[in-house]
Amino acid sequence: MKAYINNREYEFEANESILDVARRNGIFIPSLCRFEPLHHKPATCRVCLVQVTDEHGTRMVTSCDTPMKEGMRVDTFSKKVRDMQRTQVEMILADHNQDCASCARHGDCELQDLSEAVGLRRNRFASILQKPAAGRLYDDSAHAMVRDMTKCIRCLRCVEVCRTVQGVSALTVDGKGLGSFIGVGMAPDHCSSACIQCGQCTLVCPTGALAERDQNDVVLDYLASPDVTTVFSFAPSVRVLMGDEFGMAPGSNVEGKIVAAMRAIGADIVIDTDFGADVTIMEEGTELLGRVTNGGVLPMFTSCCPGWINYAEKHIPEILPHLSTTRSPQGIQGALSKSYLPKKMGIDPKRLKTISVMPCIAKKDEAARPQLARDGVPDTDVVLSVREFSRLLRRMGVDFSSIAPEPFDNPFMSASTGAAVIFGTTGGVMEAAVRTVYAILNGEELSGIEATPLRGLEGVREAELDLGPKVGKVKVAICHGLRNARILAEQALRGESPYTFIEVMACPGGCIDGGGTTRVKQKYHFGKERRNQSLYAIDRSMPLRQSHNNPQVKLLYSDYLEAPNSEKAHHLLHTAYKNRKDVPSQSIDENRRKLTLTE
Amino acid sequence: MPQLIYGVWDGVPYDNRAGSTPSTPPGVDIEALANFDEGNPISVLMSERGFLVFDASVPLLWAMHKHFMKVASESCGKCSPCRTGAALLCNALNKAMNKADFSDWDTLSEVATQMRETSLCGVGKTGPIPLLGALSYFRDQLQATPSDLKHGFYSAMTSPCIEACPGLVNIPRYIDYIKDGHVDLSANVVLQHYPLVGSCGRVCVRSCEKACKRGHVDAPVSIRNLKRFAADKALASGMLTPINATTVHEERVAVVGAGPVGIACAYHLLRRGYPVDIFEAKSDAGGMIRYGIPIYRLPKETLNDEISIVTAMGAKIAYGQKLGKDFHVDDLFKNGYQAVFIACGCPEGTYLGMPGEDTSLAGYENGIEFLERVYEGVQHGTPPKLEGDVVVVGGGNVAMDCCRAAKRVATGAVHIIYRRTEADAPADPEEIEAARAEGVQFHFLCGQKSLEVSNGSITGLRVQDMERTEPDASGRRGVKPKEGSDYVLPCSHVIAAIGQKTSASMLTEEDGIARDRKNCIMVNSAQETNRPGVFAAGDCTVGPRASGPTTMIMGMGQAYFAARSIDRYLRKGRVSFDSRWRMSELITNAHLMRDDEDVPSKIPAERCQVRELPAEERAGTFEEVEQTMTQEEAWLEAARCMRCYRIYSVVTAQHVPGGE
Repeated sequence: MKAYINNREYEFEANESILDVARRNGIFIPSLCRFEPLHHKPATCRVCLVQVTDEHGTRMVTSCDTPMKEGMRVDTFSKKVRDMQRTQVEMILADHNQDCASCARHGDCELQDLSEAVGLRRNRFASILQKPAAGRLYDDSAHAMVRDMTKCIRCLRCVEVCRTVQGVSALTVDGKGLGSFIGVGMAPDHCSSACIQCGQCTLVCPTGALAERDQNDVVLDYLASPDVTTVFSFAPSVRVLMGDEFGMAPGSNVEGKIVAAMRAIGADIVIDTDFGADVTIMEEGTELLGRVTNGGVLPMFTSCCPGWINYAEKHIPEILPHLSTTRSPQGIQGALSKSYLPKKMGIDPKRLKTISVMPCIAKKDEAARPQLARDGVPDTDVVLSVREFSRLLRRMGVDFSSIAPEPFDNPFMSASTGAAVIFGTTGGVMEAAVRTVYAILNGEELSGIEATPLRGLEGVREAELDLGPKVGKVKVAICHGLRNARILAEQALRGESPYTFIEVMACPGGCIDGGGTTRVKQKYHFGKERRNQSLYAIDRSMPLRQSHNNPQVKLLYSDYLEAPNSEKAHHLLHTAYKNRKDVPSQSIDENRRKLTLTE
Repeated sequence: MPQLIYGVWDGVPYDNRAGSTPSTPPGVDIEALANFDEGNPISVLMSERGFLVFDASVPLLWAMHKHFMKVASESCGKCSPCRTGAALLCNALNKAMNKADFSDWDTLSEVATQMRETSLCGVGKTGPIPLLGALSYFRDQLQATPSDLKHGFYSAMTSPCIEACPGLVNIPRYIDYIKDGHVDLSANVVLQHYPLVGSCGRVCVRSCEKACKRGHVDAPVSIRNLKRFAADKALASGMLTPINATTVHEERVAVVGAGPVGIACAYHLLRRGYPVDIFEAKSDAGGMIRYGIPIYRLPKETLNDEISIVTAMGAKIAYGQKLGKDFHVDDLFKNGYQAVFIACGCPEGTYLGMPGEDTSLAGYENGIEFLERVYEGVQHGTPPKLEGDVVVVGGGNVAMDCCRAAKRVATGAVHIIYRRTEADAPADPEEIEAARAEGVQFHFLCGQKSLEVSNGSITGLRVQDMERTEPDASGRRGVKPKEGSDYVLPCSHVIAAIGQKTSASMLTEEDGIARDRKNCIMVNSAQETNRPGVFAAGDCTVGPRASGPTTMIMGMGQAYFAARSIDRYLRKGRVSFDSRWRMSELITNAHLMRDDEDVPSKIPAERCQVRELPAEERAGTFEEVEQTMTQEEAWLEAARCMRCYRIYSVVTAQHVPGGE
């Protein structure tokens, strides 16, 4: 079929939108709400206006939701079209909080880009409706994130990602008119809602309406205090993510630069969460073997992902007995940083503040769990996402791209293995666990160490592994994205799971695409293959590739914990879960008051 | 007759100010626009087609501002031009009202045009139309004016689906709530109208879907199934719970009949704070939707749950109490009830009335008896068994219920005969399809003639082919028998499903309640009978809003209205006018709603086909056939709604009840 855009003829398929035909042919039409990576086009921003002429006459339509028709003539940049696109952006800005200087998306905002694209030179309505806009919700009750609805432009991308990618469906559309905003269903606030704080919505929000809670000033206070000894640690994936924030190629390994940058801003001790990951494997692997040999609850699900823990507790608590009790690498690193490390280094643990740099924002919520505190003092004091840490470096004038890499030097908690590094991608925890479990069972290393069936980016993967004569063959599964996790959890609850061990990462792709990673406008999970490959490349380059061979891990057990799953290890490195499912119930009358009907 | 002074309609200006031969918009019945309520003439009408001014003394700018306040209050806020446009225009109109030298008409016009031409749904697309008309043709009339004028004003937002719904349920709103993630609020929109949300979500005749504009793009939105989804997720799950209603009035009201109409009326009275007792002839509540609608369409757990809403709110139901047998209307008043609501329905089926037919003959029954017998059997675990073939006569939904139920309990074949064509059949086409899928054999243009009887039992039904007559003056085609075409359909059971009637004995002369010759109670437009304090609705009534046996939703719509009338009667001693219903009447009588406008060009999206119990598994079971949509299906289906909202406003000489 054929139609005309700006007087040139183009071919198209039936039911293709005008915008799709235009984009396919390199014709730019500005738009805002549409989010191509999720095929999301709610048609709410109404910016992608074009003028069409067909047998019904000439009219303005939004190109994203209007199908191209045979013989249709489309005009994308006449004066009238440009004027109306520009007026539309003015209308969007009319009830948008324009305090850009203090915004989480400062300098990285799709609405600013759009304003430039339509040639905005005046902002006629901004002064008229700012007051009603300012009355909208600002909710910072959640540990991980802030919802600033004065910045919401109602693109509904967050609702889409929450429903279709995560299957969490915590976000709702509330209110009406100027007061419309993104809500959290029947819950009174964000913190107590069904939200699991994975932060995938913050990756797609075009403005600063949804963002991580910025805790950089807490860290700056620590750095400025003479009474505080700061311990910085960063997650396996962070070394292949930080480069993105500074214009380097996706997946660049910048481990040494991060160590150097932490020291440059004044970190007293820099350690590696890889170490905690190796300890996780020792504990979790031993726990798994215990369950297999003692008839414990199987399949066992991994427990290092805080988004998954929140999901299990809030959405499918029946699965909790299946969760490994082993803490996450961050949880282990925090506990040991405040017990083992000061003992070894002869520091007063009360002086210590632990700062954890993560690809994740749910880790902020994890750090606030009462189960992960001792005498009211959290094991991890502050979690900074990759985005925040990068911002901190910019604030402190650290030129990350030119800083010379430096090695770790802490003799107790900074040694790493290839097994720990691959924690950062989906399948990595499983692969690391298999390497160690095999060795424990058989007294020898697994040959052909790279478990290729466990690798890849499909949502659910399964493999059969031969663990040697004692246990034989077992089936394991790996999933990422909570929709997939739910399928495997429900299968387990029905008693139909063929698996012994299941790895779950809440975010699709695992930590490399976590909710705390770099936001790139109009893109979603843009560098996952490169980041994934980069982590496997680091694993290959490591002299030690099994957690149990990490010399500092060996030292930890010989000098301090005695053995994996020992009483002391249980006390320090394991945790408990709580059913937090809230089945909302309300009387019809009480609920009626929330109706926004006018009659 | 009202005189149109000036206005703009469908983009055409009408200016009779100079006093020449008055011109009026074609198609609009100006005469129907005389008064809004009694003695209260309409001064200005504003709608999605323009505005009409009948009283030049009303300042047009004031009227436009009022209308825009309503538009802004109805804007959902998702799309930018409507969200901020409506607010900006309210603001600008307010400024213009207060400032004699207001000059920024061009910006105002630009914003209104932007809103009109680029909004996502009907609110934004149609809201600015009166204003744009005034700006184009009557800018001289838009002059500064005091804003505290004493004119009456009433405004309602509606849509083709809402106007098609006898209950005037705000359909796009409950669909929106599903889309927005609030099943609780979605169900609660419907609960504003009646408590039987999930029941109606299963069996409604859905006039709304026939009116749905999405049908012009691909297929109507699956409105009924969305309502069922909301009910199943929010009500059946316990997310929304009924609580004891606070009694604020002393006057007790008796409701006679615990069918959907009685239940709905009791519900609205309880909500208004009246103590309510319900009297039911049978041993269980639900009336025709319990006994007449087979369990495979409406599981009785759903019905029981929803009836328990009114008992939880405080209604008491007395069973085995039949009006005309166990008590009379006088007894109710004697026992202290201050008002009586009668909704006894049409509990009796009719027979075919063929020459010499013997209704006591084994194997010959009417649809109502048959369905009731099946219901009782299934409830007690002993469904009746029909040996041999069955012939059902009729073409309505009761006939479909009969043949589909028969298919589940008969050992032989099930036939259905109907005198007219399939297209003429009043049954829901999806019901016909379902019956066909289950193996029912259809014979259209086939009329019954006589029962074939041998040794006291039925051996067949003599039928004859019918043919369509030529269209009469009104274009309607009737049917007539084809001479010599009769033959016998062998069978051992004949079920007459051609109609139902009221119980003649429910009222006596002494009750003093007027009835028509079919024994239906005569009511006025407020559902009031001729006897003070007695109101009636549903199948057993005839009147301006009632016409004998009707649909569940029609009956529940009447019940809402009756409850309102009872409240006014008990509070003020007389019933009064309802502005919202009046607005609908105005839209219909004056032909205000356009039906021919361009539906926006949309990318087609398939209508959700809910999962069903496979047809081959349905024989012998009364398990529910249609399943609830999944959450994902509901989101996708809800997204198909185009929100064809439009706002109608009237300015009147005096205050309007329920208005401003």
